[in-house]
Amino acid sequence: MMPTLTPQDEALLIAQAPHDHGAFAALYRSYLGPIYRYLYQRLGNPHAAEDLAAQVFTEALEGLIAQRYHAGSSFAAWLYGIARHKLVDFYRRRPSVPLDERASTPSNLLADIEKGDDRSRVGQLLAQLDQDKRELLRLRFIAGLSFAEIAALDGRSAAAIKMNVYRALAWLREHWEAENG
Amino acid sequence: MDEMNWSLPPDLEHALERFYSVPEPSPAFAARLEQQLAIRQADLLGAGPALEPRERRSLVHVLLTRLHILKDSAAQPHSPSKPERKSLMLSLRTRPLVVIALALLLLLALTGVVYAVGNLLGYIPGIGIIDHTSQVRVLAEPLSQTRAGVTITVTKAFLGANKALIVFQVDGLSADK
Repeated sequence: MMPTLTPQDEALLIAQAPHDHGAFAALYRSYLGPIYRYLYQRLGNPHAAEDLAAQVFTEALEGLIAQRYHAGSSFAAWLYGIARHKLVDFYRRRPSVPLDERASTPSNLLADIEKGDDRSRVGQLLAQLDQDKRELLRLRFIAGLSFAEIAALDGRSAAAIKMNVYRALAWLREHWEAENG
Repeated sequence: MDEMNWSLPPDLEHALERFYSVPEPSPAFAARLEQQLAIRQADLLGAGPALEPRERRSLVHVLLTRLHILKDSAAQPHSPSKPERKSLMLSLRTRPLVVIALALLLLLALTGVVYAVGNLLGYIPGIGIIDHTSQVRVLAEPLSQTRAGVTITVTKAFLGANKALIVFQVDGLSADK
């Protein structure tokens, strides 16, 4: 799930990327999957996810060339920061699109109920978490970001992020066990 | 922190995995976007020689290089150790103060050019175009004289071979005078 580049390789590629498409392409291939999955999970629509992923990587390319990325900072956090801004723009333009989890949309909920699996139950539990905790779990489980990377993205300490993720999971575990006896 | 229990019941862990599992981007989309990004990067960098990011270069030099009037030393084959030149529009977009300064510079230059061309053609502001071949006299600065409380100020005077123009103003003239 996580990009397979080592930190040294990634730093080298970032330095070369502004003037070497091969280097940028390597970064793109490494991050396209996680970024696309994150956007898809937020949007629930493959076409919108593709559109926003294209915008994210175009802005990342322009940002690298214009030196808007600060060397040494977390590239993943910078990239997901762009993705979040694109999501905010997307929802601003289309306020009628539901902001909730994909599983809470009626069609998905219906499908899940028909299947009768655990996925819908966990979706309902997640929907009860506040937006901050849901976003932390997305960044952790879909984007595969480390606590330090999420901290860099959110401007909080890694310890605070770890604690919040832990609390969210503890809450889920408690309520899951209560519901499942 | 070490006392935290991160373990989840297997069925909850499985449910979370299923909930968070989303499809991968299609290979066709991934290839198409990679190609579009390559084109975009070529567009941004394709204008030619590299600008040193922190180097302050003469704007005129940059513009002339852009217009291929000057040959730039960086027009050599790409050196991997040097960052590529940014496009002019990209550079300007990131430096709004440069854009404002450039606009003011152009405005000033344009005003000067208009004045110089006017002078060359024999244009005197307020008078119009004059004949350069004949001798003309123009009042250099306004003159005024006061007598018995009445002031006459000549603000403009133009004396040519066939034409004389005098603009003056009278102050202090009462009805009984």
